[in-house]
Amino acid sequence: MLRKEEETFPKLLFRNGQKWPGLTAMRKKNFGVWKEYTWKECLEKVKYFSLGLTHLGLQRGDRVAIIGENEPEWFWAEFAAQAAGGAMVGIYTDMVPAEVKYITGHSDAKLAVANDQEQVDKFMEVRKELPSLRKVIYWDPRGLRNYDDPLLLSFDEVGELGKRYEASHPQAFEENVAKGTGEDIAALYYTSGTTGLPKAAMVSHRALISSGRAFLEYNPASNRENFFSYMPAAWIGEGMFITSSHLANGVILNFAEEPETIQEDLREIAPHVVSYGPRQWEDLARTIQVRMREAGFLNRLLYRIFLRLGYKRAELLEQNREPNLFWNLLIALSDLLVFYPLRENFGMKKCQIATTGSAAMSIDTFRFWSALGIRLKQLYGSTEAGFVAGHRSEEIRFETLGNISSVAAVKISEGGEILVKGPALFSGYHKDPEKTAQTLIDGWVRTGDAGFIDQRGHLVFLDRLADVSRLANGAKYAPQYVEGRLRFSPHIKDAMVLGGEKRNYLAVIIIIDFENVGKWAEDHRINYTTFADLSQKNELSRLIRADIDRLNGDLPEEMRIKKFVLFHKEFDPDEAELTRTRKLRRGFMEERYAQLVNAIYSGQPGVDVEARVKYRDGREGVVKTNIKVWSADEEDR
Amino acid sequence: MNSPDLSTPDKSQLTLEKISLAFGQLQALNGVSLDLQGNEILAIIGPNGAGKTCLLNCVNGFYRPQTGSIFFNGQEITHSPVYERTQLGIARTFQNIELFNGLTTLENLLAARHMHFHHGFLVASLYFGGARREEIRHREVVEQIIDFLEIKPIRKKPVGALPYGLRKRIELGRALAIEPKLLLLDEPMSGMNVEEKEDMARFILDIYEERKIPIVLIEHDMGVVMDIADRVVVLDFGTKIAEGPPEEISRNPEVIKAYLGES
Repeated sequence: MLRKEEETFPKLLFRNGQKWPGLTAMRKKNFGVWKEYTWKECLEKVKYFSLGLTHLGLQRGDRVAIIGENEPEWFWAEFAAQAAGGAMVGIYTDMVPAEVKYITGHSDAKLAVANDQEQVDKFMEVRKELPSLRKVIYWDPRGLRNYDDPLLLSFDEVGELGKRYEASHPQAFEENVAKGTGEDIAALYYTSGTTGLPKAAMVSHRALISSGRAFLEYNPASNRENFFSYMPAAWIGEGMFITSSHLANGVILNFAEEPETIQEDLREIAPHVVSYGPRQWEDLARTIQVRMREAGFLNRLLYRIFLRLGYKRAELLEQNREPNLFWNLLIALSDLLVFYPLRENFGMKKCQIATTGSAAMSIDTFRFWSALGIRLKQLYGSTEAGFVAGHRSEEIRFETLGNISSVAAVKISEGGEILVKGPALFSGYHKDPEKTAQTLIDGWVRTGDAGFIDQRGHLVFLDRLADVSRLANGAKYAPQYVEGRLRFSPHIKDAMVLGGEKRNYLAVIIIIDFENVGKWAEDHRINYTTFADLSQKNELSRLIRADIDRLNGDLPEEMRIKKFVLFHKEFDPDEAELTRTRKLRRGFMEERYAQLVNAIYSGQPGVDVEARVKYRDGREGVVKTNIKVWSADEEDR
Repeated sequence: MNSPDLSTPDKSQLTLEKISLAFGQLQALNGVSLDLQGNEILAIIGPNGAGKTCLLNCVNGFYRPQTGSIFFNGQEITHSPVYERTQLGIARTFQNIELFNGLTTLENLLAARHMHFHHGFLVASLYFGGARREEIRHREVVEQIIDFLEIKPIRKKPVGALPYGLRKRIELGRALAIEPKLLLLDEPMSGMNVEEKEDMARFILDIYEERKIPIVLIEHDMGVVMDIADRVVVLDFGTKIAEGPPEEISRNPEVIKAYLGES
């Protein structure tokens, strides 16, 4: 439960203005210099802008559309609209006039706040179709000097209107703020479905602040810490994690000078929290690798040596082992010489918390960042459900979404779907009771994601519900999830899960990682000739069985793997087993290796597989291999 | 931040009286007269070797005409050295970019402010008192130009590694850093693609409109000239063959002959 005087964004802002008047609240680079705004200044800006909005006719329950880059004015406008009892409607900066028109019209926004000429022009283009739009307020006058239109007002002009309004209505702002309750709608977040028009999720102050507080429990940050605000403010992620932390704990918000200067500004600020999507973490990792390859000889050498040490650290962390003094010293040295400067270069000098979104990320990327000393934590949530799960610092396991947040109750439906309840839920879709009824059932939000809760209480994401398959006995399983988890093992390069509606259990075809397994075989004095030969060794089956055992331990009963084979070759796009983008062609594979699949499910100990091989000179040959079928829960036959 | 006043309140006036310039037997300029009336964008056009760049060089002092005189704001500058003319507020850009390639954008622009620095080497090195205030002020002026020309993302990038279009823009920025009363632009759009040309045209118009700085520019792209110039002067073999508003010039048979050749 939130305290009454802390249950809305404006109330929190008001409290911060009283509590920390001289402390920095926001920082934005202007003319090459970081300009700081104190809580008192922010409160004042919001106050007069809010009164200005009231003067322009904004009433409780009305909505204000905002479009622009993340800059202080964006948030002042948001808080001001909320202080006047209104809700914020964020529009993404890259939306075209037709989309701007749809959102502004659908949300019945009377007032719009736009960054600059580019965004103002979008409203000008569609103004005739938006009869209820009264004013468009801009905060960057550049390029607008030749505009003379009664629809337009500058940010400062609205502030002036507010000051005049205060003269005739003293205490109006304080009264407006006091009237707000946690149940008031703070914002409308438009989410694009895969089909049809975007839906507008109404999100209350209670929901945003609850999510923010739960986020801070897992990722502590105080009013001395810096956040960097660059995720679109029209997206709930910014609202429930960043903006909410800013107001609830007074975390300093920093803004880039331009979207193009984010990397540079990030480095100067060195924020406490760094959040990227999985793709961006992968891109950054690649950037580092490319740059290191281009670096001078000495740097390259140091990097190569110390990266190995880094991976050792990652391994120890993964196994939850405390490094001994020797490793600790080496790790400290590698940090000092290589990783600290590297992290600094990418704005992560003071990064204590690094988060990634709920989409899947490759294990290699996780390990790479872990080696560099950055431990990525998951944040799982949605516009409708708020903050659902995330990693605590002491319990990071990359195969899960982390612990369920303190504001969410989670249950798995009979269909395997993740359902969420709690104070962070949205309040329904604007003007769409039908969709609301489909999503919100008996107080539980349907996420559309399939998942389960593992033995340690972590939430695990399997796949989108629509992509989940079913066995003959009705049990659900997510092939891509199981395959992805198998690939976490250094011994397994690829895998294909068998199952489907005609079979009662899962089996898996495994491609070994020839390089790693070959090294392992040498270390253990196991002789082998070819890939095919190595893959069928009994010792190897034990090694892989241990990997499968570990995975099975994490999986619910019906998703456990019962049988496996170690394939005699790699999947090959040239033989149409993979698509050119390296996706498995399941149907084709099952047909092509029908004999093998039958052997697995009919309990045969092995099967001869013939493979046509094309030699370099064009001749064709046939290679015969006996592939053994292994059982996952039985020792060697 | 209050912007330092970069505009020139008084109307600048440039007058060229029958200037002639010869290199040996080659008559580069032959009795050219020209009058820049206060605030306008004046375009100089003409075929290759018509003497356009020579004319600019005479104005900013790289060349001294053998006969004729040049006045700027009522003061004769025919024989003044280059730095004096710069101090009077004549700034120029070059056809081929002339920047310090090893320095960053910011440093290139700050370097252009050297004539506005009043403190000595010693005080400035110590970064003390007035020198410090002065340096901050210069940085402010330069930052406004950076903001104006939208080159914030490359503020700290070495100029040599930047693409051509951006370097052209930085050169324009350097000319602005002098706080000029007259801008001479030598083919500001040569070698640019359509988009870069449009950007540059917009910046030139913005400079003219927001900062009220008169501009003399040499340009080959007639489309651009038609769009932004208030008046056009046509040179051919060192002689002025026409002068007037762009629409009139484009219909002038003599200009068509000089420009397009006889057909």
